[in-house]
Amino acid sequence: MTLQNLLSLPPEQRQPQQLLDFIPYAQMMGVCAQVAEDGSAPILFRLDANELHMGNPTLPAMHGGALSGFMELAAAVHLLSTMTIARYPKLIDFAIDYLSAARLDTVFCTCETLREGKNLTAVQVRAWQRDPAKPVAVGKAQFLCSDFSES
Amino acid sequence: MSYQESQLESNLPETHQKFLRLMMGRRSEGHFSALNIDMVGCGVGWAEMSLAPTSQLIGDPMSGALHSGPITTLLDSALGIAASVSLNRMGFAPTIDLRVDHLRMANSSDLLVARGEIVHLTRNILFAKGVVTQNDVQIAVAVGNFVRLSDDVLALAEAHIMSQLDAIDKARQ
Repeated sequence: MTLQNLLSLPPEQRQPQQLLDFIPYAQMMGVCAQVAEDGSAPILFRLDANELHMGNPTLPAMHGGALSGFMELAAAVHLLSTMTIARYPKLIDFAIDYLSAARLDTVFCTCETLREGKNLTAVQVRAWQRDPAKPVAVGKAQFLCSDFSES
Repeated sequence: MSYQESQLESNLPETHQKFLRLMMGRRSEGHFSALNIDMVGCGVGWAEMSLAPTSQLIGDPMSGALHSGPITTLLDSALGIAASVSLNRMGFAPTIDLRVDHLRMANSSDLLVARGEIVHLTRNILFAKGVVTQNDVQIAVAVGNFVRLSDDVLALAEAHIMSQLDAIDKARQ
């Protein structure tokens, strides 16, 4: 199985974890995805605590860029798991608001498609650590994800 | 480029220089070493950092393009350090928000260089902007705002950082 083969399947047959397994950056970061058995809940993305996500060496905190990278990955895999697209979506911009300091601890996130257009798709991502009611960051991505030919 | 080759403006206080030496010296751990991020240079109001990509940072295996995450990390670092070194005390400046526009795809083999600059500073906020280039071509631009901690919080942070630095220096000897 290659990523190309996987993306030739309809989105409901693409397992998010299988998609992540094809993305080198997701492997390096250690991003995992869980899907509810009945598919009712959004995909739950998880990034386990790891020293390699540490930012400032004098504080045991996660690098803001690692958190953002995790959320950017989740947004793309969310689209690949829900939309009929055969290519990895192109990120046009990503805006992140940091709401509280992210500790060097497991972080979760879920995504929501805000708008699905012919070319442009907007996705919102919400990340939290121990308490789902207290987000550590929210992000918004605009993707170009028509079945574009290589530009 | 290693820290030794990088330029530090001589007008930076000793505490700032010490902190930056530590940031760059700890190559064996943390997110900087995971992404091969290095300091290129910095001074009051600016910082330049580089990222040497590897195939581990590819986002789209079909095109071989670098993932956006390492670019965000490089920008957050360059803007954040530009903010930190713009203050009198060596604390840190937490990121409030950051927006990155990806102008074109970055390849996963050539060095990325980010420059962060402080555009305005108020009592509570540092406003920053930045750009990432690869082979002298702009890959991404960013704007981000950072918290300017109060002087007494910064003084505590600086004391904490200095004690950590001393402990790390001792452990290395």
